[in-house]
Order: sequence, then C-alpha cells, then structure tokens
Amino acid sequence: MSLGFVIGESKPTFVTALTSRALSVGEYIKISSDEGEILGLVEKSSVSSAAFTDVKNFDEASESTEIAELNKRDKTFTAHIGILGFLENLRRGQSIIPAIPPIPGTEITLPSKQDLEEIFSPEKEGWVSIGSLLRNKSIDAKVNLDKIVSRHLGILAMTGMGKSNLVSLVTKQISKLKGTVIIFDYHNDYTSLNIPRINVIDAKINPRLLDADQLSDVLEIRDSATVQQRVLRMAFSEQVKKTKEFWKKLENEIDFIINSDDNKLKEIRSSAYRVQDIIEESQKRFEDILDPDMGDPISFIKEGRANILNISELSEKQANVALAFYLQQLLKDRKDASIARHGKSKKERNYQFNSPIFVIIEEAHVFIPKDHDTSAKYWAAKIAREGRKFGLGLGIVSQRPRSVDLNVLSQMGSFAIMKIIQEDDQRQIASATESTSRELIAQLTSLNVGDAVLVGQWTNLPSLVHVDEVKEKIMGADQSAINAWAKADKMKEIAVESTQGLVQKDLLLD
Amino acid sequence: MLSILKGPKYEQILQKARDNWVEYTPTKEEVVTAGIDSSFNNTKFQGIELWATTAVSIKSNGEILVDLHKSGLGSADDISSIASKMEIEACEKTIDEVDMVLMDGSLHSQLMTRQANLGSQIVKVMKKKDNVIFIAKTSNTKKQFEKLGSLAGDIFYYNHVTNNPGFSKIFVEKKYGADKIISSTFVRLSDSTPIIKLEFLGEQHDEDEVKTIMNKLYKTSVGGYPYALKLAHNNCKISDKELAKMVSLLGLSNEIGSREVLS
Repeated sequence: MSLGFVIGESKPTFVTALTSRALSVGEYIKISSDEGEILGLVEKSSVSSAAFTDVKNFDEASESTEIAELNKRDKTFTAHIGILGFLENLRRGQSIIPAIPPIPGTEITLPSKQDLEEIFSPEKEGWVSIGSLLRNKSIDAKVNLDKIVSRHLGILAMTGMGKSNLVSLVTKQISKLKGTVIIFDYHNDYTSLNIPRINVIDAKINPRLLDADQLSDVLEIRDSATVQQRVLRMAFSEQVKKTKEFWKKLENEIDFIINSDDNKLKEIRSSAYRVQDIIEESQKRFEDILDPDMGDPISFIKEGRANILNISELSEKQANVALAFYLQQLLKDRKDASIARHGKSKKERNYQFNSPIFVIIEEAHVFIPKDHDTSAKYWAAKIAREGRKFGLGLGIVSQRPRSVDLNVLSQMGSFAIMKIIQEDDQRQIASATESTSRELIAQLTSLNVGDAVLVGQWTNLPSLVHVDEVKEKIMGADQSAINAWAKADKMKEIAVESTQGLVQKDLLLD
Repeated sequence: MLSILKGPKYEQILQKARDNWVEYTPTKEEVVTAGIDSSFNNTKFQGIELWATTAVSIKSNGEILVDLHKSGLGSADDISSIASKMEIEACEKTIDEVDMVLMDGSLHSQLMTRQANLGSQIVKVMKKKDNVIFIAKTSNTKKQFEKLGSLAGDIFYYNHVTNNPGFSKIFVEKKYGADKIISSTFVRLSDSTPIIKLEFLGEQHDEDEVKTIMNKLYKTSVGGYPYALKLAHNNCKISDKELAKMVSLLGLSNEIGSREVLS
C-alpha cells in the first residue's frame, strides 16, 4: 500500500516525502528503486494545515478548525527520511547506501514484518533481545553482545530514564550466557539485582597495593597539603608494604620523623603529627574499607558471573583509586592471558580470567571526567583503546555526557542513548557518535522512559527501541517520599501505643 | 497620517457612514460555495515571451471543480484579458454545480476598466442562475461620499466608524446601462475583521438578501474572508518558480542565454 511519495531534492542519504498520514519518528519505510529496495528511517515528521497558516488570532484559529475539517487536502504530512541502505544488504548486516538518490516521485511503502525481523531480530549467535522496536512493537530489538565486549558500549541518559534498567538487562543477558560482567556500583543500585549467577562484593582497598599518592587520596589528605603528602611518601616504604603489622609499622615510620633530631625532619614535624592523626582516624573511619590483610582484591571477582562491586561506601577519591586499581589489574590479567593463549609467552601461569570480561562504570562523568585527569580515567582510556585486543569490554554509563572525556566516549563502538534534554549533552553525543544524524539527536528530548536510540556496532542499523523492564531489579527506582513519610508516621503511632501499653498504669504521670 | 484624510467635511462623512451602517451578526448557514480566481505571469528571454494563465474554481472543502491553464510563446499584450475570459469560463462551468459562486475582485472593474469587452459575457453568465457575487478585499471606489468631498475610498470611512459585524446600505450604480446595474454593499462578517465589498448584478437586491448571503459566507470564512476565495487564490497562483518549471518542461532552459529565466 502506498504510503507517500519522495518529493523535492533527494540525496543518497536523505529524502523528503509527502505522505497520506503522519509518520512517527523511528518508523521504518521502504523506497523502491531500480537498484533494489531501500530501507529508510523517519527522523523528523511534521504536519501542517493550510487552513491554519497565516492565522493571526484566536477567532481565526477557531474558524479555521471547521475549514480544516471540511477540506481533505488541508493537511500536509511531511517526513524526513534517513536512508539506511539496500534492504537486501541489510538482511546480511551490510549497510550499502545507494549511489543514485531516489528519484522524486518514487513511491514509499511500509516494510513487511519479515523485512524488519531479518534486520532487527537476526537469529544468530550472540544476538539477544533487549526490547522491541519503538514503532513496531511486534518486532524484537536484538543487539549483538559480542560487539559490546569487543568494541565497548556507552549508555547515556538523563536520570530516571532507564539507564540502570538497561545495565541490568545487559548484565542479565550476559549472565545467561555465563559471561563475566563487573559493575562498579557507585549508588548500591545493583546489589539487590535478583538474577542467577550474581556475585555481590563489597569493594575494599588493600593499602599495601597502592602507591603513596593513591594512599594519600584514600586517607583523604588534602590535595594542597603537600608537606603532609611528603611525610606520607617518606613513611610509606616498601618495608611497610611488606610487613605483617601494616598500620603499626606505618605509624612507627611517622613516629621516627616526629622524634628525629635531623633539622630537615624537624621542619616537617607538625605535618607529621597531622598525618599520624589522619592515619589513626582513617583506621577507625575506614575500618570496613581499608584492609591490609585482605587477599588479592581481584580474586573476589568470579569468572562467568555477574559481579557487582559495591563501591557505594567509598568516598569519591577512594572509589577512584579502587576503580583504577581494578581496571589496571583486569587489563593486565586479560593481556597476559591473551598473550599466553596466542603462544607469545612461554611463562606457565594461572590467569584469573580465561575468557572476555565486560566492565561497566556507572557515573562515568565522576571517574572519566572531561576537565581533569584521574587514575581511573587513565586506565579506562587505556581499556577503551586496547581492551578489544584482549577481550576486555568497557561500558560507560552517564547522565552527564558533556562532562565525560570525549576521547574515551568516542572510543565506544555502540551507544544506547535515552532521553537527553541538555543541548551541551546532545552536542557531546553528536561529536562522539558520528553515525547519529542531527535529526535523530534532536529527537532525544521527546523519548519516554525506557525508550532508547541504539546506534553503533551492536545493531545492524540505528534503531529506536523500547527497552524491556527488568523485573528482577528491585532498587534504583525513585523513592516515594510521601509513602515513606506516611509509613514513618504510622510506625511512630504504633511505637507509642505499644510502649504505653507496657507501662504499669499507676506509674504513669498525669 | 489620519489628518491628511480629514477634509473639511470629515465628521459629516463619518456620520453618513454611521447612518448607512446596518448592524447585523450573521449566523452560520449551510451552503455549497465555490471561489473563482485567475492568475497570469510572463517572462522574457532571447526576445521571446513565455506567458501562462490559469483560472480555478474550488469549493471550501478543497474540491477543485474547474482548473484551466493556458500558455504560449510570443507576445501576449492581453494576458490579463485571457485570464479574465478563463475566469468567466470557470464561472460558467461552476454555476450549476454549487449554490453560490464567489468571484474574486470587482464587478465594477470588470465591466468598466479591465475587460469592458467581456461585459456582456459576464452579464449573461451572472444572470443564468443569479448566484454569482463579486467579492473584493480592497476597494478604491469613492462613490458613496464623493458629494461630501471624500478623499479616501468608501471602505475607509466604514472601517473607521464600525467594528462590529454588519453591512452598509445597498448602493446602486446604474451608469453602465440598464442590463449592467451593479448593487454593492460593504460587509463585515465578524467582529474587528476587515470589511469586504460584495457586488451583485441588477437592482433587485434588498437587505434581507444581504443578510442571507452574509449567513452563507460566514459559515466558511476565516478572519472575515471566504475561505473558498483564499483557496482559489492559492491554487491558481503562477509563481516565477513555476514559470521556470515550464521553461524547463518546454526544453527551453537548455537554450544558450536562457538562465536569466531561472534567476
């Protein structure tokens, strides 16, 4: 059935069509051409009414409503369509843009269910369903998980738009395939994720494994306190790292500086006192976090599981140090394992991970910031560049794409972009995702919760999808303050009644 | 600005206009109307002239009843006359199809100035079913207040003394001959909209008929102007761009030196 006709100036990548009804953004259409059928995506859609053009006031608008109803030629439905390639090639996963633009006057029609299924729901290994096409609910939207592990994934959206749901969904699907996922859970969103093969770990830091600068960050010595940092550097010797009584030995080293008669050390005595206080305080404050007696932190991560690394107890700096450590170790392990497997290393060694890993960094703008360097950013960037060679995939999740380092962001081979209103964020996304057209980016403001634009290598084509809700995800939804207050008030009443009932009546005061 | 138009008898003219004005708020009455308009354009290149004329008759619901086109190469001194003839032809083909035919422009100008030679033809068509009205958005006639020394057109004074819907008392012009009597009235269809001028053939028209016609026009008017006429105007317009398309269709755009046509 004819849906409309190509009009105006058409290009090999873009056409405009006048249609018999308003088309939705995200709808797929088919354009016939001499070279074969072409698939297009509606990127912008508009409706105009002749009766309402030049209308200057309320009365005229009111009068025009009757006219508009009478005149069947009154409405003009215009669709701006991005050309995705020949249908035949797209079925095989190849996007080949026609050399000759569709001739104006060419008819456009709706693709069949089968046409779309072959492209968006391929029955191939590694492709898993994450929802349905936004405008064709009956078509499963599948993504290629292989591609996100080998070429990374960016999940970008405003808060509350379904980022953590998508992360949970991807994790669940990888977990089903017995793959290894590690989520750095900054807000304790995933620890209650009720999926099989889940391994929740409270992230701890072994201070022995850090360098002096990292330890300074972990102990929260101020950046400007350079003398205190110097004291710590002097005290945090290799010997301290190796000794059994870590904290005691470290304090002894500081004591040595305090009690020294050396004139140079006398000058920094007051700072040494402060460092001593900090260390003492940290041992109490960070008792659950800093553990010099823990084994290799990486050994807590289990292969073939969905590992939720709870870093919510850590401060931003501590989380940064921990993240950098884990990323560094994971890259090293995967690198060694890959090299060994390819016979380039003669070393006989057991590797922690013998298969690819997918690492997800939540709140990427905190750890991979645009405007300053952090050690986590260094290692994340390294994984973004080199990870694919060693089977270490990176997933970065952020609600503020504008604040994420563009170099890292542009290394992401695939993206799920949900509702984004801020223009700065949209610009950053446009810079990072060359394949996403301006029209598609402009649609980001109109997406609803759970709707996402999928672009990049994990799909055959840019697509607008509605992501399935992960029922197993308990946390992460907005909390209802009103319900919580009502509940708290009720509890208060219950508490009063029950305690009063327990007190002997003659003991009650008037 | 207004002071320029205030001659010595300005207040008197306004009073006369007030006296002439009949307040009437129309109510919507179901009727099938068609609007008719014509258009012409021409362009010259390499000593040749390409001209094109169109006339359209269209109903308020967008249904095109008559769509006439003519074009030619060579001198066209009287393309406006061709367009007028086509308008009359479109009118002739429409009068039996609808209840009321709305012609764009002024009967007065058709009879007197523009195409005096087409006068008898117009009269014949209009008399056939007596359902043709000429409607002008702008009018320059200075008939009604000329004795008082009016400086502006009649429409100006009505616009100044009224804001409400209504019409001016029917003015009858007999100077073109017994068979070409024109009755005219200035009409405002709804509050604060521009006044339009209605012209009928013959002198047998009364105020009740004006009221009925106002009711019929009001049904499909936007901003005080019949929508069918707006549609007719939009559908018959020949833009320079369209002429350029014609040049291309005729294969003339490939001629040397023909580029100016497209500019």
